[in-house]
Amino acid sequence: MKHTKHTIEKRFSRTVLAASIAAIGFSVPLAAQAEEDDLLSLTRPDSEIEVGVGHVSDGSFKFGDYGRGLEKSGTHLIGNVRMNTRGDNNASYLELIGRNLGLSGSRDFGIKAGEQGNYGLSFEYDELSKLHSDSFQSPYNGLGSSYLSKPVPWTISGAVTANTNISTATMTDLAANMKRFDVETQRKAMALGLTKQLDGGWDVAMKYKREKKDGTQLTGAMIQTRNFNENRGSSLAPEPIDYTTDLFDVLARYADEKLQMQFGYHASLFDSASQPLVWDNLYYNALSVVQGGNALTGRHGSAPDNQFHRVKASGGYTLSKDTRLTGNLSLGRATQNEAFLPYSTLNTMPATTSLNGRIDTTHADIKLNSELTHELNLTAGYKYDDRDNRTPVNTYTSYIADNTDLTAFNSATVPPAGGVLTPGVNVRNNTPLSKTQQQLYADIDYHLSEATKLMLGYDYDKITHTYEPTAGDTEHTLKAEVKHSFSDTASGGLAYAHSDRNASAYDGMAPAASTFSATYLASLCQNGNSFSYNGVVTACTGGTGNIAATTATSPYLDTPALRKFFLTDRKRDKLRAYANFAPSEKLDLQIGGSYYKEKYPEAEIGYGLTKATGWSANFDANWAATEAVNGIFFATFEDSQTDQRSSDTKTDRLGRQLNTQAFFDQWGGVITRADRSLTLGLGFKVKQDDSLDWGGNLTHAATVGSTGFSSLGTSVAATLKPMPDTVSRLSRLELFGKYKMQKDVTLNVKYAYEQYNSVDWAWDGQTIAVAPTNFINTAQTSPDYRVHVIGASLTYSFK
Amino acid sequence: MKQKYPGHSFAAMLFGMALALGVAVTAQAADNKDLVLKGDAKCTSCHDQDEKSVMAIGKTRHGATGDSRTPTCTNCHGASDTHANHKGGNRPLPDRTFDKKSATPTKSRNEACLSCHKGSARMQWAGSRHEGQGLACTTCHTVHNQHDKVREKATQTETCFSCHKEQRAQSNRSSHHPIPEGKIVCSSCHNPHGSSGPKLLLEDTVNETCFTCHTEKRGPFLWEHAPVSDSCTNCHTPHGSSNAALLKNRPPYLCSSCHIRFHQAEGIREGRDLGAALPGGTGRATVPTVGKACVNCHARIHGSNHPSGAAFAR
Repeated sequence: MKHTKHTIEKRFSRTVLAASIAAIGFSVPLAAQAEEDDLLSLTRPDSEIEVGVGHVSDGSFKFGDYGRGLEKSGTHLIGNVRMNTRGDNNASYLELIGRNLGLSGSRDFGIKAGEQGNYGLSFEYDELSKLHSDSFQSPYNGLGSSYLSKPVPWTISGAVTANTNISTATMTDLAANMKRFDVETQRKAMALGLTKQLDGGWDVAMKYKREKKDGTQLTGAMIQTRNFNENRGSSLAPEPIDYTTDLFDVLARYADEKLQMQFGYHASLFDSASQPLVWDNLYYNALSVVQGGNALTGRHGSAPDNQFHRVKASGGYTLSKDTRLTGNLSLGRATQNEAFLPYSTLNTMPATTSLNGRIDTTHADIKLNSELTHELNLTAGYKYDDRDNRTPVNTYTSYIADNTDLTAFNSATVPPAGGVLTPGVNVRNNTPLSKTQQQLYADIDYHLSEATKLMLGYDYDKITHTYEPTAGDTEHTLKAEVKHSFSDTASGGLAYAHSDRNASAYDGMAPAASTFSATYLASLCQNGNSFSYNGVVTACTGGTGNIAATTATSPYLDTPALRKFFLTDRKRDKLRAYANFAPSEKLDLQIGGSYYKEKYPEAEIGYGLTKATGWSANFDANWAATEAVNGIFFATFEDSQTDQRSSDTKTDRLGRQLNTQAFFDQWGGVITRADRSLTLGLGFKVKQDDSLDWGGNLTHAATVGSTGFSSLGTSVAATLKPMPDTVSRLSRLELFGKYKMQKDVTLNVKYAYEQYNSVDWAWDGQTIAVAPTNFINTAQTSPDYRVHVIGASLTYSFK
Repeated sequence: MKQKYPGHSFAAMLFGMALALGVAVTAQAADNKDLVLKGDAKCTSCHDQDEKSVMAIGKTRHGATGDSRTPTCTNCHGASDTHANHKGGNRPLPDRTFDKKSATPTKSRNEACLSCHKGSARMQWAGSRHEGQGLACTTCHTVHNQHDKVREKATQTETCFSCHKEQRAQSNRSSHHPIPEGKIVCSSCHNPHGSSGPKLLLEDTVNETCFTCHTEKRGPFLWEHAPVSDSCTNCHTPHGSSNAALLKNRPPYLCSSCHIRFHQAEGIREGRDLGAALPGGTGRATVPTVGKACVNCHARIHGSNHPSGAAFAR
């Protein structure tokens, strides 16, 4: 057993004290008392309270995000508490912990008390802020409320007609009305828990948690600027949210030497008190046709209230010393029946007034683990997951956005010039998605020697689903890993896995045939052709004036040769290597790397995601220079890349439909997205003596996201300009010192400096003059900050 | 184990006689009674000084003597008679040790813990990913410590990230769950002791795990977006991303990997779509490229319950 200088000196001091006392004649009783006190100091839990002040140099939402609570500049209170008491002669306990008590949006607090082995009570409180943007701007009045009103006056310049698409360029009052608004949400959660040990190996646990989330989040707010086609204008608007989620969990558990069981009930009740967001039409054209003379507003549906209830039974049984069987069965039901909004703000209600949505979920699994021999271990199992969506199917009228004149929209029989409108275009059936997944797996671990272990595995995965382009797929995965200890100080391993997913025949129109009317689909292909609609031969009706139908001989929406990556065939390889070295007692080194490649063969001859690849490398060093000084260094580099085949133009419908090489050579191209990240960390701690600890951490994380283009068609290449990179760089320095002023009082000082800069083409430079004519610019900029934080506090320790 | 005190100190010499008396008194007390656990005198007659590794058990749940289930030293470390009775140097180690370089087989170490902790969240340990990788309970847990850092929010990731280094790096990306901030920890989503779900997730499926916090996205919705119902991880990567909202790829490219149609969002979005904001560019940007890209209009991308929300725009 190692003894530190600290413990030797402590023992020596104690003994000197005890011996001195003995020598002057107080003898055994007081010496025993001193020993008792020392014993308590070694075995009684430590508690501490920290109080101090901190200062933040500059305000930044990005810096204070994710519950840090430091988004505002200025002084704040540092408050942390950790109390632990345990009965000296019984099993009672009380644990209290509070963190960041002086920081709104960051603080949490918890208390646990009870009698170990009998009962326990707990209470937890937690705040978490999500700070979306402090540079967002909008011309609307009423930001933060559920009704965003148009500034007055709101003038549209230039000559307009009933069919004019209003442009942001003609919104004379736009710039003058741009107002800043902080977009943020707060979560506040409170939880109560109870555990009770029962006789006979049983215990019960109950937990109730209520979480409230309120504030605003950015949402797209679109509106129809003319009565048809894609004539729509949009903006980003702060949508007020007011959510409450109640979670209940009740568990009854049993455990003995061989058998363990658990029966549980879980309920999740989500309630939204948010009013649907309503916004005035900033694209309003005074000459537009307006039904009933009403001014048009747009409106979103808010997240509907929902409930989820589940019962679950789990068990594990030790069949023998080396064999164990476990299994689970759970049955759940999610429901939602929120009253629908009208189709539009002009108050046309659907025939069905609420969804009566219901999804039944079933999960079952069983797993056997057995040490067949000293060298050979087997794990095999089966899993079943079913999502049975029993929501009724009904027909709804679909207006993409709130529209000025629904009557005209519905009754149009001739497509407006350049438009795609056809009777039935806006009739849709909902398609409740169901999915069943079954998995079989077997893994064996074989010790080739004391130093070498080989792991082999096989997974079989079968999925079926509804309303998708495929009926389902099967996937086979083979896995192998070898681990080897080269010596007491060196070890390593290599792992490889190959997966092959095969989907059933891909029919991209299958979902469309389930949701759109035959009338609409017929309008997407040219007169004189026909197609099968749910088994019925249907004649195409598209005319030359209809862009969507131009030259197509069968209807389609997404490009027929497109393969959605999560549904189509896939081949995947994963490779991982790692090694650990300890060149000396003081130094530990770890290196590792991984590589993966996913290929989507059908997309490679069509469209969609064709390939996803990535690799990473990491290096870690842990250095214990002395018992009092240690340091760490780590570096991780990651590179991930996706390729997708895409195409431009919407006029050559036949070329796209037939997936001809000629079409791709003219209008096709491959988009490559790549993210490269480097993360570095350096840290050290020094325990200078019993009274002083100090240290620091330095973290740097940089990411570059690039977008590249290759195999471009001639018409695309002629005009294409490269996309700029996106960049984010984070550097953080943290220093701390702890000085023990007295036995029970410690002075803490902290300093942190963090700088972040980022470049993002999605936001940067998008001024009113540059932003799209049918999108209200938000004037947001990508985050950029430099913040210093200092803090000083005192910690009082006690038992 | 008792230490021989250094005899070079002047103070020790000065108080030599009294010291010897004092040691005798305290040693006698230690030898005759348990200090923390029932029957621990066998061990604490020597191990009565090292606060960090031994006596601190008294500060933990395993030191609660009032709980009849509390183990003794030998319950976990074995009877260790050869260790306890040895005289002289080269003392054999206890029957079962748990330190980093322990020669005790992992299975034997874990049995010490699982003999009591076999149920509840550990029920699926046998055959789990971490068990298969040869991890011992004490690889992650420190039992003789009031603060087992893997069980505390503020410090848990130090343990997990010592192996999961890519996740450590990803948690420093511009978009991440509040992991570095200590508000969410690995065990908020994962059960490291084994689970029925994929990737040791707490719940049976990816989506059920996500819905624990993101309940507003559960639905059922009137209009479902297929990849959302299939798995949140089709679009999101949970540990950190350089794309907003933990997205695996940037919109509009994420969206166009599944959607190329006659809609205006079709096509190869490139520098011209940034308008004059692109150095050397001209004109206006396009809606599906800037801001939130496709989501500028298709705001209800996780599902819509609006009767006209089939395009997830309402």
